[in-house]
Amino acid sequence: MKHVLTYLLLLCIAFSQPVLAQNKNISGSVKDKNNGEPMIGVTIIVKGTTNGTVTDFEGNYNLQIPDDAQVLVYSFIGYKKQEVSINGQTEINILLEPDNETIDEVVVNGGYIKQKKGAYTGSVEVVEAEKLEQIPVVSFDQALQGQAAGVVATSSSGAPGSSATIRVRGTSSINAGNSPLYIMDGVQITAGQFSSINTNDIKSLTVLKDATATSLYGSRASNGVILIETKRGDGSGKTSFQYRGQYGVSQVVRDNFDMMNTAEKIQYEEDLGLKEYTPEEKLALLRIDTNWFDEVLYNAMSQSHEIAVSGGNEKTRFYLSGGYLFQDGIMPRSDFERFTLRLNLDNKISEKSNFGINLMLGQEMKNNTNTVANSLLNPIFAARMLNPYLYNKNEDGSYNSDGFPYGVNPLEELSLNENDAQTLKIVGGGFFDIELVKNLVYKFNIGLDFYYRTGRSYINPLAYGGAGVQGSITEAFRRNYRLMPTNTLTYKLQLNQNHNFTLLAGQEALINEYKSLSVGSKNLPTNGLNQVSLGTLINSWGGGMSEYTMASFFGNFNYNYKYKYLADFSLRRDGSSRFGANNRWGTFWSAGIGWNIQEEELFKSISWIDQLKIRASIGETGNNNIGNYQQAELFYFGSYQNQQATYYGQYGNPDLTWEKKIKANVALDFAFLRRYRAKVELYKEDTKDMLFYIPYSWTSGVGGRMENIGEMTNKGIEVEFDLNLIQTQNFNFNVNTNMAYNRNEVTKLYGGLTELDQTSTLIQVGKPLGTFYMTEWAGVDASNGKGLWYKKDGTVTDFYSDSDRVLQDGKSFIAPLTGGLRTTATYKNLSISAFFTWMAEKYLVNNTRYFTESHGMFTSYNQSKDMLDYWKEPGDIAINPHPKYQDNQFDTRLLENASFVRLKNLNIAYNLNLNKLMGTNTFNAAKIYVQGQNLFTWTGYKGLDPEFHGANELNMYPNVKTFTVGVDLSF
Amino acid sequence: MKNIRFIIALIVSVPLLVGCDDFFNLKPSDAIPTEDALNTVADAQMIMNGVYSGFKSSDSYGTALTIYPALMTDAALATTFFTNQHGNAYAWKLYPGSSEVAGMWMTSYAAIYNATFIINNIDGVEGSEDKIKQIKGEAYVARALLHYNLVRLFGKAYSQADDDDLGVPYVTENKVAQPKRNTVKEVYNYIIDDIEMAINHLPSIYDQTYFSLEFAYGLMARVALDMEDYYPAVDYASKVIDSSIFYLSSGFNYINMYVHDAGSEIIWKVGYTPTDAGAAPGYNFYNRNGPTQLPSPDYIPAQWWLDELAEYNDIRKNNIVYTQTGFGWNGLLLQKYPTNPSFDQQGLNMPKPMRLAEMYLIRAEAYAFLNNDDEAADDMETLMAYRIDPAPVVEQKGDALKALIEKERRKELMFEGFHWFDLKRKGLGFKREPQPNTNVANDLEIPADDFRWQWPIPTVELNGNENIEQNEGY
Repeated sequence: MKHVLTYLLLLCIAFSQPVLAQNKNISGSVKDKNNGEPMIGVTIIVKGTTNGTVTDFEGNYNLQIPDDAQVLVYSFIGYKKQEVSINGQTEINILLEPDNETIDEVVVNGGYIKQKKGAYTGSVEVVEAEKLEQIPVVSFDQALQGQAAGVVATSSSGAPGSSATIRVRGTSSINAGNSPLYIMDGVQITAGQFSSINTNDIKSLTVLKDATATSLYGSRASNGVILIETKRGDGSGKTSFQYRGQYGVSQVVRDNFDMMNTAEKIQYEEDLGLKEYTPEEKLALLRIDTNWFDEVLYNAMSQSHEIAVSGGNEKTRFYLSGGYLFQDGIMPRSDFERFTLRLNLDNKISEKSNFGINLMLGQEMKNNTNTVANSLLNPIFAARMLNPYLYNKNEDGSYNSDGFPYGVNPLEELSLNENDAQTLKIVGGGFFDIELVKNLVYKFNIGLDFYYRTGRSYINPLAYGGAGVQGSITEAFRRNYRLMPTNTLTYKLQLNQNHNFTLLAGQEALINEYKSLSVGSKNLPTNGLNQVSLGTLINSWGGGMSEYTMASFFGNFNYNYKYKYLADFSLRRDGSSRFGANNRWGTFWSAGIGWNIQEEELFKSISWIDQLKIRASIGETGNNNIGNYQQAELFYFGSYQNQQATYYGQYGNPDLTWEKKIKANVALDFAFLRRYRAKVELYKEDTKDMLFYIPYSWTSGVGGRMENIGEMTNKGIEVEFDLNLIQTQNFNFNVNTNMAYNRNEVTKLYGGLTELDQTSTLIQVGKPLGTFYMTEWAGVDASNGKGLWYKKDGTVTDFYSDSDRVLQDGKSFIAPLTGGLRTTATYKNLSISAFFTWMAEKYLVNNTRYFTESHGMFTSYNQSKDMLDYWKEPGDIAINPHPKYQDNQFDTRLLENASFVRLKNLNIAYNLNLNKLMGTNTFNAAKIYVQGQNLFTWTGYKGLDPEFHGANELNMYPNVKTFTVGVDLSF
Repeated sequence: MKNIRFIIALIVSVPLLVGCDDFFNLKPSDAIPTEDALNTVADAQMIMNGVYSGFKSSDSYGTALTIYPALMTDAALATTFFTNQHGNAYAWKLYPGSSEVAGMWMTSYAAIYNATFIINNIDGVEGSEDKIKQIKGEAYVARALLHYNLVRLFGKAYSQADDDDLGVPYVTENKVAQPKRNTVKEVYNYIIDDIEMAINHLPSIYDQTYFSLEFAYGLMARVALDMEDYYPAVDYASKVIDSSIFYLSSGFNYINMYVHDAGSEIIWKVGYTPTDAGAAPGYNFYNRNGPTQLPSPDYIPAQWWLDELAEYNDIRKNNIVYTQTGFGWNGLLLQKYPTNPSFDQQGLNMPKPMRLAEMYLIRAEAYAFLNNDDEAADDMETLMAYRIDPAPVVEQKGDALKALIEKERRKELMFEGFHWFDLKRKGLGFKREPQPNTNVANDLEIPADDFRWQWPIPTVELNGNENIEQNEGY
């Protein structure tokens, strides 16, 4: 490690510009404008150079500058940057003003109190608004990939408005959830439902990773926490308007499908003796050669518009925004439309007291195409399987269905039926704080997360699927609300100017209630009218209610000595209704220490070191992401001949309790020469008392029950570099990169068991979760064209059995290596930024090939061109067996390396000086840009898209590449 | 209650919250705790209904138990353009991880648990003694039937099994356990015990959609035939035949039995209603969504079976139909599941796991093996008279008579859940003969000693049971 650092250091210095002779002295002090306190660690540099220094513990600085230096730049994380002309001065004293817009390095410690990053011992990643706001995706989770070390975001569907799967530092649980906890302005919000949140309202996303950072969410934080802070008005007295607009066009991310054309398919069918065509028939068919992908996939348009107004004065600040977004899907009958509204208000009641509200409304409307993975009516599946000699539309524009499987044209079926959903989401909250006595602040916060969703599914009586029931319509309603009040007391204390204490005590509760209702009718009129009331017979009905509660108490103690030595302790106790009466409460804790080495006298004299910090933390967090009533022994309900029926449903477990995770973290922060920043973190996270569904013999009535058993470890390293390689007056070049390696290992199962069969994967002690478990394909027998497999003992057999499955060591569907790389170049008003993301050692079963390369099983449908190359006569060394054997199995033939590098975003922006152009002073700023999303993908994966979370990829809605042009105006 | 919770949550009241179990004691609104599940006879009826409900599943009589015994033999062939539905069972590609195997195992043992729960806990619950006795009897016969199906699938046929050949675990307790497999012979003994208990408990009240005393007799006759215990087979079959509840049907009544799932021949059917239907057993013989669409069958009946059916002027020819298909060719399709007009899913008819005709066939076979050819011929003539016009006279003796009985059994019961089990108990293999419009596994040959006659113990069981032993070959 030491060598690596030395090397990097040398590299950076080598690229630095020559250090200029220094022959003039300038000194002064920097203080906080708000409270007049000296500011430590403020960076002062001579503009256009790397020459500079940082303020000491008293806030003073002393800097040698070259003669020709003109301007000094003062900057500090979370404060507005100031540029001051030197004009011959030798002492310059500065008051820095906190900046509400630039949150750069301000950490939100558990959301309950704010702390400056320099004085913090936890492990956090901040993703600023500017990295998210222009990206043409509906929800912020899709934009997270590669943005922060250790945060893996995978968007498994390109359908407009779909959500991504987020994992922080790997997968740590088998049967309890692995999603991080999401907190928006202090309110816990439902994961996977972010499409109704306007990404542009987000000021920052903060990812909390280690025990110290997550400790104040102890109970629910074992999968990490993502804090979302939204924008608020500033108190400058000025009101600013901002308009953002964007137009885009999307298409399928890769088009590497290669199916047979008509001539090939006909030949294939004849060779296999499936069909006999007369020469006339053949001639007629050969006139048609449909590329079904062209029929099914579109270039899809999208647009978004948004106006935000923010401002305020010393007393009241506000932020108000309204947005509209529309995205068409690349497949038929799929689109997404959204309206959003946000109001954030802050009011200073007095010098000692504040209150504020946050309110977000999002209304979204979605049309869903058929995404049933193995349905021939799913357009992407139809595009693969429909024979090329079928054609889509007749000359008069009507759909053709002659010769289609079941006589159904999937595109006609889609056009007849409807499937849509509307969601209204409200996230709101309010807070009130008051300084009770000096330095003791009480704060009350209440949050509400609410959604109301209605879904409709209509099958036209004229459609294939509606023929039997003469049409059906189902309407479903779902509602969830979560209420979360929090009370905290914070006390700050400074002794002898050197000892800084912050104490926090708090309490909170959570109530969640879910309700649903659905009803369907059938026998509808054939004129397309489709209300439930029009059906003459009932078809289906359903509905239910479910709730859970939690209560928590917590405390935090934070101390630093002269900003040099840092310490942080937390304790939290949580109760959850999801656990057994015997074990409802769990206690969680954390301890962190840090050392700002650059504050030591010895290091202060080393002028090129800006920051050198070592920090470490350890602690215990919990997980309760399981069903609501898993602790209870239950009988469920069913029916027989419309009579009530009950059946044994679940073994109880009164001892069921929190899954726990011990997290340990060591990190080094290093910044030097005012231009380079590096961070290295090492962590180990041990899951114990894992919430695990223990399989029972089915003779016990059900398949198992939830218990606290089993252990798992995740350990890894995260590295991050931020390099301002070129920094001049007009030209800047920055490279920011992060990478993470996470090694997952199951360390203990239950009852001495060492492995557990999960069909295509195997959970084995000592191996990573998600490791594939498949029978090995051994190629084709040259003598008879039969497919061969390896038996467990290494011999070859022509009889497939899943008993011959072996662990595919090192091949897991959970990629252990992930990262991102962003390069930004700016020249005057022009900036170009390219953002790459990558995942390595990622494997996937290409389930689609089970159908398109079926070795004879689905020859009545179109097949991949590769299927033409099959064994024909003894002695043939063929890749594919003779189709007559139908050797189509879930063997290693379908297992593919799905590692990839993707140019996620390329953005070219130009800052226009509109005032100059138009001779006014109306505009504050104007920016136009063009960008491409998902432009290039480098991968060996044969399917449409390697970016998929899960073991098997079958006909996923392909991700899209998008080209957009946009404008940001503020005035 | 909800308001209290709300107020507690809002108010900063530390001691109150810690002490307040009320805040956490949430009960599901759509399930009941086990201790409240069986207190009255009405509760017992609900649990028994839960057992019946399981038979609606496609993993039980809803599909698998009804049609696999034909699809897995030479009696059915997959069409060239079939959708691979049930293709693994059809092509004999079932592995421990196959969902067909897991589904059968899970559905059966879940129902066995509930039947056992009734048997072990019903005594003394509130309600009519007679009703308690009846439900207990139904539970006994359910448990016997469920194990009977499992042992025939996962173990060797009784007639082919040695004393130590393994069957399935016979479960009579509600507990978390990892039982070993009982031998085939042990399982049959337990089955007989349970049926005898059922016979002791069941009243002579009769409903086609619930287990009756006569169903218990019929099951005993079936079991006895498997065991080649021909006297009891004759006795129990006779009890059903002589009960004067059931009559063989002919003509319109015969056709109606398959269309409307009603008639005097049905000893037990799985009860479906339009708003509470199970799986459609016959879906794949037509494979369409509405009556106006052309069928695109996944499976068609084998030519040899059609030829057997063509022997006489036989009402059972109504079970097949010559029609145009969506594939472009015309041919004979199976029409034993012609869709009950009360339902809209195609191929949906109620499974009829036991009909009176089977009792005649059991008794005739038993008589024949007891060398009582006259009685056997009488039974065959009785049955054939209802099916064939003019009624043939049975003059065959000995092996020829036995062959006739076998053939009539195929004509009568094919696609109703018997053929595969019959081949297995007689120690026979089979070979499919390719015929037009088929190409998948249409020449499959399975010898009598193929290990796949015993289904693999599913992975879901192996994961939770260290003591279970896998069948040979898997």
